[in-house]
Amino acid sequence: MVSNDPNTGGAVSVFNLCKSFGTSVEALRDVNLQIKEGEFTAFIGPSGCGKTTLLRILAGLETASSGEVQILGNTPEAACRKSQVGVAFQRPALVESRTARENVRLTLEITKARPNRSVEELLEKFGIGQFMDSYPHELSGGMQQRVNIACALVHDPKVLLLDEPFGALDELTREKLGEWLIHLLKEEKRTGILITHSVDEAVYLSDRVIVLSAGPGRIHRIVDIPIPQPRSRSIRSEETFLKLVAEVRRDLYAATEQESPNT
Amino acid sequence: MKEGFTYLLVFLSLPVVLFLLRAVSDLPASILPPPEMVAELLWEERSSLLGHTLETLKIALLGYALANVVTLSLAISFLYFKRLENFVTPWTVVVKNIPYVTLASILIVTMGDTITPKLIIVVLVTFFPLLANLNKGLKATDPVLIDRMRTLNASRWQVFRKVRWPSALPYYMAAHEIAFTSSIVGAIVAEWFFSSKGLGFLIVQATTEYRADRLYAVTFIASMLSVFAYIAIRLIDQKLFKWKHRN
Repeated sequence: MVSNDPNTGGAVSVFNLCKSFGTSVEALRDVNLQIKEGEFTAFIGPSGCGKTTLLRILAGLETASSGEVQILGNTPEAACRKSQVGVAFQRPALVESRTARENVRLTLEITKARPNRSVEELLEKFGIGQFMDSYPHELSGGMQQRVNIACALVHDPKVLLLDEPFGALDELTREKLGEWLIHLLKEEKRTGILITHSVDEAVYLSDRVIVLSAGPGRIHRIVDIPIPQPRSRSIRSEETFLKLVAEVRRDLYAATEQESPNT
Repeated sequence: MKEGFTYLLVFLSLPVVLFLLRAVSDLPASILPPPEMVAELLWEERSSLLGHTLETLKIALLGYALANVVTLSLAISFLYFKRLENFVTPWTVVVKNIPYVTLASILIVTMGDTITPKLIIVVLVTFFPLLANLNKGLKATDPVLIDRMRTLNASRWQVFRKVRWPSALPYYMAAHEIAFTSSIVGAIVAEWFFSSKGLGFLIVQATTEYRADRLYAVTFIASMLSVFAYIAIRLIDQKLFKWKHRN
């Protein structure tokens, strides 16, 4: 049910991607997809469906066994070299002995990028202006995640990859951070890819939700979310939204119950 | 500094302990000297004691510096050359577990009363905890941070300098707390085997001459040195990790 034509170009293109670990573990099989510039896409699927593997391949942290991945026309490694990709991990990737400001600056020290806006401006925009000289252990989980995302965005990457960045947070903080993030990405017209376990979060934030099935990971279905951005908080209780959540949840159950052709 | 005050109290209470021991035992002054006798000797022989102390300090500090050079070279090499670690680690375990008495005797017999065997003994006494901790610290770096560096296309040196080293530093400093004081003990043991100067030599001399007062004086000086070494490391530790204890 993959509706994308992989030959039209875009921010992220994946063609016939397969990934195996050794000879016994097939993590991904024949994944094809196309993500447009400025689009926000969420990946959802049962545990072990290869979501994180897919994100790691996009981030250049794993190599595909076969198939091709392009980010803005480059290989993931080249895109990273050109500072076109930012990655926010599930656990904040912060150096304990550096303040929030120094942690964000670390990205610039490595990439040598000279973005138009300063680290301080970015942190102000992220709502942590008052805490920029705090160390990670002095910040709440939500604040740490903001710094984590600031670290991934400071060098102005066109594509932001998010691996369950709100997974460890309480529901309210998670919702607030999600709203804040999508507003930020849409305002700056960045392409976002989010790995999540939350159906609500996926539907609320994304332009499209990609449901993956497990064993091996394949695209089960792509669900378009035709609710215009920016979305208000009240949309969560509207019928359109609830119907889409139910639809994605149904697909997720189907993907979970779907048996692998191998098994 | 609260900690410093506690150590000062320990040193001030030592004469009291000696006094009490004398009160409850009937040992003569030639075996258990009164505190004032030890204090008198410390004052009268201050110039000679200072010379021997500086000699021991020189061996300890030089040996410790060498141990750190060995440790840093090995730990960094182990990080990037796994085979080297597999090859060298059994050797470090063997060397670590050879009784120092045997090793010191062999070195002294081979090289005589020169600085080299003493430095080697200090290195052997101190390098193992340093290497074990630094190696562990460098490898304990949060893999998420390493991933972050990789997505930024960081060089090996950048990953080491910006991420691995800061992560390993607490481990390395914890090893210094143990190893730095051991360097002083190592230097004294080396001098005790074969030397014409240093606190180790004084111990041998005092034993053969049945000079318990001098033995106690040297013990007092050696303890002072070790405590100062420990406090120095603690101060550096507090300075380095001030960010941890900030309110």
